[in-house]
Amino acid sequence: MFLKKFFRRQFISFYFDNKYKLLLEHVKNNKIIDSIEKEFEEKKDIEKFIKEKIDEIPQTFVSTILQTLNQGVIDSCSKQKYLDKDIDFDNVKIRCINNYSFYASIYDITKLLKEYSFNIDFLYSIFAPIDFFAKERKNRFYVLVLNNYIAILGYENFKPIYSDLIILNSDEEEIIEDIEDIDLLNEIEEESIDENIENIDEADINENEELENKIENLTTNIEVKILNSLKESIKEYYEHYSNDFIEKIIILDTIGIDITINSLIEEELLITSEIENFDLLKIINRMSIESI
Amino acid sequence: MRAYSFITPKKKPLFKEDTKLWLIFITASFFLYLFFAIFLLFKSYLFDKDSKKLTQQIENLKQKTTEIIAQKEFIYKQKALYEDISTKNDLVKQQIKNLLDLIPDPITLERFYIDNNKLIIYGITPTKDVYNLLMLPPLKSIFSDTKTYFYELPNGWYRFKSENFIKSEDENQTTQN
Repeated sequence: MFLKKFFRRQFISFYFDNKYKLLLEHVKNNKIIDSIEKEFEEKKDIEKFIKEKIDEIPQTFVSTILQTLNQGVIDSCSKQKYLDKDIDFDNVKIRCINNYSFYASIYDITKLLKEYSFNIDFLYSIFAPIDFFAKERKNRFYVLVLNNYIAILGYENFKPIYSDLIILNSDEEEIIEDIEDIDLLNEIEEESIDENIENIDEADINENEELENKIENLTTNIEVKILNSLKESIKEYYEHYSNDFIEKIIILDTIGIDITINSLIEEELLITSEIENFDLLKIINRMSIESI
Repeated sequence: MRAYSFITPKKKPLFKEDTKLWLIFITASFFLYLFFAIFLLFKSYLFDKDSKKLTQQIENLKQKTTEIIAQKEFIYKQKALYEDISTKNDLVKQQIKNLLDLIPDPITLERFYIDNNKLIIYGITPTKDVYNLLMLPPLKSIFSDTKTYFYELPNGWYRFKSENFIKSEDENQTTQN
């Protein structure tokens, strides 16, 4: 409606990643006037905040992303393609964009909509913000990094053909298992076991401490987790999806990962990579603004 | 525009419920004011129209009044003239009556001429004495100057012409001076 141009609208985007992260933007005539960023520990707090905001301005649009595993991207919109991939076509909701589509389990969507006491207006697949943001689309691998998981979207000839959502388990043992193949860890373990602590001299202690710190960093470091997940995904990609080489990996960073991941990827996977700061909440809001 | 969302948002109202209520009241009062303003404008237009009509009527009446006053003055003048004539006629009538009363039986009146201040009588008298005895005294009592001319007729009677003058006030005053 013509009048809507003159009204202030409110776009709220949120998602859960260790805690609830929220961005509120006031928009007038498709221009952002101001924004508020907030974090909440408790669900009831974010519910209370959003309800208050909805009461203040009726033109409020709440958006979020689906963070469940039963979602992905298919490089077609046809039912046959879904059936070929063993996806239950009747139990997924599909959003077709040009000649590819995003899908998610209807059960997960319904569950998420019922989870909050306020009304959600836009619900996106976790891969949608990546696709919305992606400018380079020729044989590119996009990795959206959050605290608890990473979402990978692989493009072949300007079309997303591969998607994967990997939960990064915080359990220490599993992390160590994941990085077992790193020689450095084995080296340290051997040295630590074999040597008698009482007999080692001060220089050795210092050296050991340095190595332990390095390992400690590596084992708990999210960069390593990402690297390992990426390895698995690329392996799967080459095996089942495409024979074309991935030319570049673009890491969409929402948590502030270390730049060393670029060198790690280049050394381990022999693919160039770059990190881009990614404001997921802002992108979600931008998608909603453009949808209206 | 690419719509990525799995769900579509419900239609959102532009205003809150209480704002809507306020807007309804404000709009209603605005329309009432507007209606009242239009009503006043219409009334004012009608008044203006009536006023122009009345002004025109006043002008017409003024013109008519002027005409009537002129007619009235003319009528007054006519009336005055009529009264004057009537008075004069009455006076002449009275004078004629008086004159006819003045003529004694033996004398025959042939004609007479009356002016403002003179009376000329033509007639026939059997004798001069009859005239001098019966007619001259009343004429003298009325007029200040009386002249009589006799012409003897073949039968012995006399034709006479009597000129009688009344002196006007101006003449009187001049005489007195």
